[in-house]
Amino acid sequence: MSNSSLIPHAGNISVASTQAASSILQARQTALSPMYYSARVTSSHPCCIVLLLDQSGSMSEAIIDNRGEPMEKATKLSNDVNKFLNEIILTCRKDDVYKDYFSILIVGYGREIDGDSEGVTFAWEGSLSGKDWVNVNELKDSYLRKEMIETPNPKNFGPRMLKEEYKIWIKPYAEGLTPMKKAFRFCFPLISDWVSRNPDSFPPLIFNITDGEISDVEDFSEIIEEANKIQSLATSDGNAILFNLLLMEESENACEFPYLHDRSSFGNSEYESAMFDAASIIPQSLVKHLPVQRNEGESVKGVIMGGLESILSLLNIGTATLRNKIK
Amino acid sequence: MTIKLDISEQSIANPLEYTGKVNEDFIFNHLSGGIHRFVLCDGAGGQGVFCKEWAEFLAKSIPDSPDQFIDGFDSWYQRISHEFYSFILQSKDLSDPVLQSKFYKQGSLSTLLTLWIDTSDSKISFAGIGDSFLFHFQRGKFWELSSVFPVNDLNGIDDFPALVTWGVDAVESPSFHIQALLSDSIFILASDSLAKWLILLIDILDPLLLEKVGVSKSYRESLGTEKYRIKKEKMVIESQAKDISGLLHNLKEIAKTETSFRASMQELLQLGFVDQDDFSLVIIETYVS
Repeated sequence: MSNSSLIPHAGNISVASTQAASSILQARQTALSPMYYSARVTSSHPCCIVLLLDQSGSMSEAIIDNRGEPMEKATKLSNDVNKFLNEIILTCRKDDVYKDYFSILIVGYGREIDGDSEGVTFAWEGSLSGKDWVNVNELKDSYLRKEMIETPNPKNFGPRMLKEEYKIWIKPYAEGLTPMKKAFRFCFPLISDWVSRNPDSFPPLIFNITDGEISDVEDFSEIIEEANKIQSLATSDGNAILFNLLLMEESENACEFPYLHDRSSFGNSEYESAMFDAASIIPQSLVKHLPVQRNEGESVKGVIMGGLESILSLLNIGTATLRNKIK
Repeated sequence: MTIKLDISEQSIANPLEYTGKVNEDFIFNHLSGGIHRFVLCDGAGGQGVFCKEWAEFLAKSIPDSPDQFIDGFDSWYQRISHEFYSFILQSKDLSDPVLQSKFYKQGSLSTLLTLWIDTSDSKISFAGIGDSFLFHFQRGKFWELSSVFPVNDLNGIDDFPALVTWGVDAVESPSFHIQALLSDSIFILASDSLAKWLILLIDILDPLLLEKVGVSKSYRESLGTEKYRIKKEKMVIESQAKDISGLLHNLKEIAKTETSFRASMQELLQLGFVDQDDFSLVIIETYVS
């Protein structure tokens, strides 16, 4: 018997035609729709995560962390990225193997490279140096060094403290200027290529973390344009989602994942407005994974303007969102 | 009143995955003191470790009596958590620090769906956590859908389900339902991919039916999104069954043997009608006389 016979004839079902997301506006409309972003993440349909890290000179400044201690921004950023990567490995550890559920690309911008203070380069160190995409099995085997740390056991049974491996892949840098536009252009063809190789995967997640004003644009509309190009990249499950985190100690505009209608409150800062505009609208089906509660049905922007504690909070969206999609 | 049961059940690993892929679903049935207990647990291997073992452990640990399960849920949960923890320590090698961290930090997770049929009392009870569904059809003039459970614990078809893990203080209590069994019925327990496919089929047959049996508005609306409209349109093109009776007949055919079930799941996967997953289907026909 064919399975097809299981499928009943029915009355009329109107199916709207799929609209081509050829323009930025259409791409954003797609991002708003709850109908996508449901692809399951498997080894054969991995998800890509892109981290764009500001490594400019201003990242050497210390700001107060959530324990009230001053900490260099670059150090905190590299610590949190390493924590995030350790979490990725934990997520992909199965009973007896590591599954390649993720492809990871980390780009640093602002490094001084051959006298160029607007350098953009892959941020991997050690044996991964110069690599673009890194899968989970490569990640677990190729690190700079590892430490053993102790963390509390969340379960009711077993040891009170767990001994854990903590691997390090990324080092802190704080050197040149802030060529964010160049960084966006650098990663665009790589993401585009990844999407063409993985057309049915969960869409790419891009996290851009910065602290300073962009040095390679004359007008902020240039960065919005580059961001829109990245967001126009799509798999069959939806468009790429770009998150922006602007590290700042104090600002009247400090916020986490504001509503689209909060746009006017950024009017006093052209740069912050640009970062707001350059971020994706978070698809409705993913809003529940945000660390803040947001009203259902309202458009929420993927932007944070806040302190050091925001870094991990932002990156955890990646693991929280995707862990639920792994099958 | 006497009640007779006819049971077909199949459970396989994703047939399109590599040979030797472990099936993380576990189905179990047991008869004790006139109460038939049917359990389907879908281990969430994407989330934790030793999920297949946890699914099996949960399924076999469900008490024979629904009253015992619901009234003593918290103490039952704490007891089996401890037993499972001891079992893993004895049977698995946790010397790899990453595996050990994962075991404690993310744990082992599974859905839980149980149907008890009390033939001496003509009563059915069901309990569930997650997105494995029980479909209850009753024979009237025709076969009719009577309930889908626990569909209303989810806001939509792509909503992430609650899962049962071990060793935590606050575990979610299962949804629970009890009713008399007065007429011939067919109960279908289906793991998530198959359950979603069945929901779409039912929605195609009669767009008002899910509302009639109390499926929430938000869940029904999620079936109307573009992705599912397109999927349903493809399903209509491939269709032959015309009503619930035809659907039930065909389901019984595919659940007859593992060969037919495997071939059917392969075809559904290739058509894109079900997600990549392990598949479990339990069909229980009850005859009341």
